[in-house]
Amino acid sequence: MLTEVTIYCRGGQGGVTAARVLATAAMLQGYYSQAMPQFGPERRGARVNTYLRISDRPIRRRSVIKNPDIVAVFDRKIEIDSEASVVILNSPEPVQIPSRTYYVNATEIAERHGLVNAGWAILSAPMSGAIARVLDIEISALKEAMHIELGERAERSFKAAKEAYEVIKWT
Amino acid sequence: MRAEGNRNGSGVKRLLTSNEAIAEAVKIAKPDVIAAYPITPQSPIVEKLAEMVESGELDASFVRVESEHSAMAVIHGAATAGARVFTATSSHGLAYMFEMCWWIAGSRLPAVMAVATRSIGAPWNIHGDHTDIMSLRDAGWIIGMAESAQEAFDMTLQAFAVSEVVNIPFAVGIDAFTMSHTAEIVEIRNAKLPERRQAYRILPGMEVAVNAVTMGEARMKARYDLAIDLEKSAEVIERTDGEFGSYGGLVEKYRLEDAEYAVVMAGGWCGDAKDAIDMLRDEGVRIGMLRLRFIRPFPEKAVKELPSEVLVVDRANTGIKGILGMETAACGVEVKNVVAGIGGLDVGIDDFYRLFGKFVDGKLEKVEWLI
Repeated sequence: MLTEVTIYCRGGQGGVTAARVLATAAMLQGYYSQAMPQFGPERRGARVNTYLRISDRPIRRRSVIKNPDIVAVFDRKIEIDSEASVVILNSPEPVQIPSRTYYVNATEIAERHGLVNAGWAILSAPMSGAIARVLDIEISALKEAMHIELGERAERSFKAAKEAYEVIKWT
Repeated sequence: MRAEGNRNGSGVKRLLTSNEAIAEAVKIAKPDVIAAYPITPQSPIVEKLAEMVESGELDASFVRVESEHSAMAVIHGAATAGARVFTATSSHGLAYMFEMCWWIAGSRLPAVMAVATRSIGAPWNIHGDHTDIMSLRDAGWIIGMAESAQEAFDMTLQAFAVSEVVNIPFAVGIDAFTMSHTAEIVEIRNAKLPERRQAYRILPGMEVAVNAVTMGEARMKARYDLAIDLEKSAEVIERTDGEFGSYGGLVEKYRLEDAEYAVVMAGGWCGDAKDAIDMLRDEGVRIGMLRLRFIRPFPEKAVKELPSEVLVVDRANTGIKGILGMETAACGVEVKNVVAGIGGLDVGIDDFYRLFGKFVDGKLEKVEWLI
């Protein structure tokens, strides 16, 4: 079965890294996976979409995801037009939308773990923890994936990811 | 959640972009000299190789040049002396090194170049199509087009093996971003390449002149020999296919055995098109794909075996026609030709499904642009 996730974020928030960490974690659990950034204006703060595909069969498609099963939103201010049945939000409180909504205060977790660059909270770690929980990826696979993808940055990132994995709430 | 899906194969599985997969393959090929100038979306290939050289993981000379013209000139010179060489470029970079591409091919020197295929301006565009690599068709290069990061890895290794047998440079094409920057699962297969070999070497102390001014006859003969040997390289590509992933040689035939309708395409978007073909097959439409893994040598034999209804979908044009459409028609095959996906314009499974449906329904014009 193919699961398609679209990550909505801003350049510099770590959406591309999150997709890559999650794709590696899925690979470690025996799945086929793909992490695909959509490049446009590669500027800090510009809106960036990143796509994540996970499947038990080889993934051949490389076009953009048009109807994701899950959307993950790193910045609530990004307006999205999606009918995805599952939404994962970086938000301190639940948001009233028809989709099944998961929410976690990723910004607060990132800041508390010192994951900040030039005043911007780097959300790849807590949001990949949150998304991994929703995708049913095991925390051990996420940890190993972070070590593969982030090297020496993995330890601190994993702490933030693990916290988000544990505290994520849903409506 | 757990699956066993990706556990096949004996190599190490890694999540790699096609750029990274190519760099890993080059590392295994152990080149002596790499020269490159950065350009989007190729840069991560040579950045990764530069890191490998810096860390000692790869024992090669990495020559940082001031332009792509010089990058090709450096690997030309190094190859003349017998070095195994590699470079990578895209788009305007390929345009800038175009002159030297002819020199290295005409000098009959083995070399491998990765091309992250990207639009050429104007208007400015960093995204994928096949315009740049198609410009190499007349220069006398072998031109391969991968569909996946795995194939980019395998083809890069095969490129060294083939190039060094036939004394013709080899370009490996990957689509900008949808391959170059898209991370997929790649099995790192530890291929062992033969020792570097080539037709001639020029070493310090040797008294020899190459590429002196020729009159027509010598030039004509050199050009003829290159054309013949480029055609013959097909045999080496087919013979070594099994050592580098078993893709089928010059072409991959996808659901073609009983097909009444055939789609001819090349590159990373073939995966989406295959998914669309599966949808039509489920509806009972006998459609398949001939995926051109190579543009040079052109797979004329496989094209001539196609069923009578042929659609060629192109990502580069010459005039109003697609380039592969024109090449396929030149084999004596009647084709419908669609130009699409220029400048990275996304063409997804639904788009291919509608397009192929229109083709099967006989509603396509001779040449159409999917805009």
